Amino acid sequence: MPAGTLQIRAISGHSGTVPGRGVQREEEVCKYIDVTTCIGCKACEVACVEWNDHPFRETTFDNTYQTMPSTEWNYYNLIRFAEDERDGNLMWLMRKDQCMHCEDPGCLRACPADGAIIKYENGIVDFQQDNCIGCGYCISGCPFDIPKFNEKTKKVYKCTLCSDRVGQGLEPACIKACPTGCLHFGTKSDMVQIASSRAKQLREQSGFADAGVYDPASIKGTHVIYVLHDIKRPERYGLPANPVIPPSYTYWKWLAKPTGLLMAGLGLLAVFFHRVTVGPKLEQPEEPPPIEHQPDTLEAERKEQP
Amino acid sequence: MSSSVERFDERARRAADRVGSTRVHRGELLRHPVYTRVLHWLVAIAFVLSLLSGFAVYSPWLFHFLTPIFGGGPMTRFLHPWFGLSFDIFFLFQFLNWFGPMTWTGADTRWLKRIKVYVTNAVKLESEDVGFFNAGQKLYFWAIALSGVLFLITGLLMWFDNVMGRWIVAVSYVIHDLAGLLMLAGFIIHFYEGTAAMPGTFRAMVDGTVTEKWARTHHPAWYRAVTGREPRDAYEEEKRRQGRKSI
Amino acid sequence: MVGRPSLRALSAVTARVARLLLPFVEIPHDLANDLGINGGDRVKVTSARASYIARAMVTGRIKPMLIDGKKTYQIGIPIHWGYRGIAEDEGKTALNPVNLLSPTVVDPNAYTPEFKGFLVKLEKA
Repeated sequence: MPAGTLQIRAISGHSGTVPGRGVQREEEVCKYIDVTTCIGCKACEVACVEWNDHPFRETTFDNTYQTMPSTEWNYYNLIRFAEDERDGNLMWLMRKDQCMHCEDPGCLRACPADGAIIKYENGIVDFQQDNCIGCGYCISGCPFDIPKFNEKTKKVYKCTLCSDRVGQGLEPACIKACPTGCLHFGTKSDMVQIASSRAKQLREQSGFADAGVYDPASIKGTHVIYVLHDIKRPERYGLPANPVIPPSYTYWKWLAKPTGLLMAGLGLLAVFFHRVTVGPKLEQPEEPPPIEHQPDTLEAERKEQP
Repeated sequence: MSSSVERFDERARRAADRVGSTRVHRGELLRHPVYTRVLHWLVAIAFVLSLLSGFAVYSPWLFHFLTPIFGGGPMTRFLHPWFGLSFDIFFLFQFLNWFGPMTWTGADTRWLKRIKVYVTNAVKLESEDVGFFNAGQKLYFWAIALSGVLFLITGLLMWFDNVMGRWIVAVSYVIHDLAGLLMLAGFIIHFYEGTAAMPGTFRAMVDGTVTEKWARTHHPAWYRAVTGREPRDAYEEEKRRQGRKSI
Repeated sequence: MVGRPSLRALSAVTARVARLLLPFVEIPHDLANDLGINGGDRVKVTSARASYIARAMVTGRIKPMLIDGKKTYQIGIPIHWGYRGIAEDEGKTALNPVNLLSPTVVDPNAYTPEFKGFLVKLEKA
C-alpha cells in the first residue's frame, strides 16, 4: 500500500465494520454477504449501476422479482430470487450474485491477452478492457458464469469490487447502499471471522442446522464470501458446490503449450541441420560426377616438407 | 469422386488456363496447371496468416511479437477466424482437385517402411513405384484434411463461445491447438522439402513445370505414365552421356 | 426502461426498483391453476370501482386460506406504480393506476388509501 492513502477511521450512519479500522495492515480485502438478512431491495443493484455510469437496461417480465436472468455487460450485480420448497417449508431465497474475485481466478488463467485481467495484491480481480482482445475465453474459464460480452465493443465486463473506490480507502458502492447491513467489507480474516460467528449463531440459535460460510477451497477461496442457511446444498442459491476451472486451462496452457512451442523450435533447428549435414536430394544422375575423395591439403603440405 | 466434381474441376482448369499459362520447354514436363498453382498459393497464404494470428493468441511469449502484424490484439482475434475459414474453403477446392491422385496404395505403405532410407539420402533414386505424389506428400494431404475438419468444428465452437457451454469451449481449445501443432510440424517439413531439400521442386508450383530428370529421380512411375519411357533406361542413357563428357 | 436516472431519485429506492420490472399481480399456484393462468400472462383485476391489467406472477409464497369451509385466495399488487410512466407514454401498457381499484377514501394530506384490502375479480385478459 502506498503511504498517505486516506484510510478511514470512522464513518457516520454506517452499518457494518469500517474498512481497515483497528486491524493490522493486511492487504487482502473481502466482501461478506449475509444471505439470511438480505431483503431483496436491490439498492445494491442500483448503486452499482450508478457508480459505474451504466444506463438502466430495458427489462422483461419473467414470473420473478429477479431483474434479469443473469448478470450482463452493463449490469454487474444481480439479486437472484428462488422459491425453494423443502420438507413442506417454503423459503424465499435471495442472493446477491456478482464476481466472486477468486483467489485462483479461472478467467485470469484462461485469458491469452497480456494485461487484460489483473489481480491486485488486495485480491481484487479486475478486467482491463484496453488490453482485452475479445476472445471470450474468460467466459468459459469462470465457474460462476460471471463475465459478460458486449457485442458492440467486443470486450468483456464484470464486477470490479469497486477497485477505484477501494483504492481510495472507501468501501464498494453496493456495501455503502445496503440498508439492512447484510453487506460487509473489510480484511479477509476479519470477514471470515464475522461470517463464522454469524453462521454459528444461525446454527445454535436460529434453528438452521446446516448454516455455514461459502468460501470454496477448490479455487483456493474467494474474496466474496457468503453465509448461507444451507451450506450443504449451495445449488439452492444458484452457487456451484464445487467450482472448478477446466483443467485444460491449467495443464494445456501452462505445460503442454510451452512444450509444443519448444518442439516447434527444435523442429526448425532439426530441419536446418538436416540440410547442412545430409544435404539435398539432387536430380539423378548428378553431373559432373562427384569427387569421392578430396586430398587433405595440410597432409599434402606436410609431405612436401623435406 | 463423382463425375460432377470432375466436370467442375475440368471447367475450372480450362478457365484458369485461359487466364494464365504454363510454358513447357523441351526436356520439361507439365506438373501443376494454373488452377492447381492458384489454389495452392491461396491455401498457403490463408494458412500462414491463420498460423501467425493463431500463434499470437496461443503463446503469451509471442503475443507482442505477432499481434502488431495484424494491427493489435483485438484485430488479431477478429481476423483469425476469417483467415481460418478462408483456409478451409480454399482447401476444400484443393481437396476436390487432388482427391484422386492422393489415394493411398500399397506402394505408399512400402514407401513408409523405407522412411529411414529417405531421410538419410542413403539411396539417390526413388523406387520405381512412386507415382505423382509420394507417401509423404499423401500423408501431409490427409493430415491437412483431418486438421481442416477439426479446425472448423472447434473453431466455430470457440468463435461463438459466449453461447457455447464452458466445457465444450475448454475441450475445443485443446483440440484446436493440437491440430495447429500438427499442421506446424507438417508445414515445416513441407516447406523444407519443397525448397532446400529438393532442388528443382519449387519451380513446379511457380512455373508449373519440372525437368524430366527431376521426374525420373523423384516420381518414376509418373514419369513412365506421362512419357511412356522407362525411367531406369533414361537414367542409364544420361549417365553414359555424362561419362563421355568427363575427362 | 432505458434512460439515465437523475441523482435526486437515488433516495427513492422503491421507485427505482419499480422501474426494473413490469406491472404485476402476485397470484397463488392453486388459483392460477384453477383459472388456467401461467406466469407472465396478462390478467385483469376488477374491483367495484375500476379494473386493472397487469402481468401474472405465479408464486408459492401466498397460500390459499380455508374460510367457512370455502377455499379463499388472496392476490397481491405490492407495487402500485405511477400514474404515468415511459411505457404508458408510449402507449405500451395499461393506463389505469392500481389506486383506482382501492376504496376512494384517502388521507387528506398524503392521499394514501384508507384501506388496501378489498374484494376483486381475477380473470385472464
